[in-house]
Amino acid sequence: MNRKKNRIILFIAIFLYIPLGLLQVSIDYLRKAEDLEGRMLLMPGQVAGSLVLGGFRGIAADLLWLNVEDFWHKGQHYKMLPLLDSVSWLQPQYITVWAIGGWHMAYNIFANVSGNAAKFEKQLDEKFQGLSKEAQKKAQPVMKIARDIMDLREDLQGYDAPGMAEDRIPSILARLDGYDAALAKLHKNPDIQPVVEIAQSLASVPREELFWYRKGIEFLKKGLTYNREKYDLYFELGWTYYHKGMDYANAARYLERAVKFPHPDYVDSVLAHAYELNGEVDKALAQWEKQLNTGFSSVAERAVHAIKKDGAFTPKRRRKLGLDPE
Amino acid sequence: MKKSWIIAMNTFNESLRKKTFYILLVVALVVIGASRFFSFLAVEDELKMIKDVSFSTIEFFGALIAIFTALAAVSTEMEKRTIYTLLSKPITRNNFIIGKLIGQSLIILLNVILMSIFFVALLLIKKSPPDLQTFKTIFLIYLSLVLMGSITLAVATFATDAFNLIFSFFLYIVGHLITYGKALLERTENVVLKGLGEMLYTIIPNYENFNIKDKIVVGVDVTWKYIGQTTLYGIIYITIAILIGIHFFNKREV
Repeated sequence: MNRKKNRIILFIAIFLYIPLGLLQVSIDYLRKAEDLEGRMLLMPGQVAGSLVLGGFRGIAADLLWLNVEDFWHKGQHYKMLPLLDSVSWLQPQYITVWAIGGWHMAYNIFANVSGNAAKFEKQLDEKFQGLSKEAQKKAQPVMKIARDIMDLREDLQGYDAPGMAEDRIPSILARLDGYDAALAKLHKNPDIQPVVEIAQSLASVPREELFWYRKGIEFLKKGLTYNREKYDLYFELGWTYYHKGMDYANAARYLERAVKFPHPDYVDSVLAHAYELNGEVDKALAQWEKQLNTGFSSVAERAVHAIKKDGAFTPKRRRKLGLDPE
Repeated sequence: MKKSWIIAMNTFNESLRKKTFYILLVVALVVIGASRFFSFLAVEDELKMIKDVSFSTIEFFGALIAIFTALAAVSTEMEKRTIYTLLSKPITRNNFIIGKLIGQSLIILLNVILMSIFFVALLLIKKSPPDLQTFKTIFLIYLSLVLMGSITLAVATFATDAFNLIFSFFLYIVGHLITYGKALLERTENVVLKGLGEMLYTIIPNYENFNIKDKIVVGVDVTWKYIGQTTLYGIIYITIAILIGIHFFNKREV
């Protein structure tokens, strides 16, 4: 082949970079529009980081997820947190990570924190008993605060408790601030300092519980921003509000959104319960009636009958209305 | 075209005779099969892991086969001195390079098909038949492998095997990172640096265009429009690589 033809070949090759560049602009736009853009994550010392470099983000996410599973089974919940962030960053459309992550925070870490309360209560009693009569008298306000804190904790979680509805949280935190301030004052008395310190630890428990519950909710909401077209995270959020927070207004709000997408039958049933506990009995009745021809038909029949007869079906509400014994 | 086809068939058969192809294929199948060991996970997680491992294995071992086949394409002919016989026949250098590209594309195709059959069988065992998105992913992986092979082939026409090997793997990694580089570039205010970066962004093959596997496994749907544009991108880039390969091979004294 002569030189001229060879130069033409090279010229064509270089010229082709023009349509290629234009095409790349269009592909970049499509990747953004179709949510196909990859995310970078470098974790020094982690194999996952190297895999990301080669474009194997899925494998990197899987390796990190296996670590999450490992920490979970070992009960090392706090170690899972940065990994959950990493996996959700690498693959934000991986719903399981958001769902499981939210559950770990709102339930498992919450339970870990709750476990400390019993320990502090026991320590407080022992310390109090060890005080002199005079010191015990001085420590009475501390014990009163400790009892209040225990009551407050029961209010957060008990089956018939008011729960952790969003509108209650500011007042709960204000109460906890009050206890902290009072305990700080009492701490100045050297005779009762050890008792006050344990009470302060006890006071930190509900604050931490609220923190992890809200953190779980926040994590699920973040996941929702990447997965708006599926029922899963709406349901997880609704369920966490319903079951953990007993925040029925928010539960109904998210479950209503969940049923707008293809979903299993039980989602409808939870929504009906949420409506009823939120005081929206008409909506609950309508929701149960919708389920008369589904896999939940026998429950739906009983629910419709109970609501029409007594105005309540959910055990919690029936007890509240005095229809069932406590 | 007929002459190129003869070269292609010869390259294909030659590659099939090599043990490397079978070793890589067997290892790849073992890795894909090993993804079944994730059965301790929840069903959805296990399926995701099977898909992740399988797609990545198809891509990684496919890349090895693509690069090694392309590396051997020119150098083996040179070492065995068969290239002199070939080019003395009425076979042009263009026929030779195009034939090599077709031949290596066929061997990559065979490799991808075999691994995909194994992968699909695994999905069927798990009662989760593959959807169209799975095949779109495999198709784009195949296209990226052909692109990788064509670049290696082009470089093989003027560089040594050692340089080519390092260059191809380097380009593979850079081609995956270039998108992040561009994102960083958008923050710079230096016009010269920005211009240079934009130029590199166009010149370096963007392998991330073909990388949809991480999104498909988590349920993101990729449109035909995207597949079409990426296919066109691949074809143009392969054409560029081959033209450059032909240009340098024509200049080479054989």
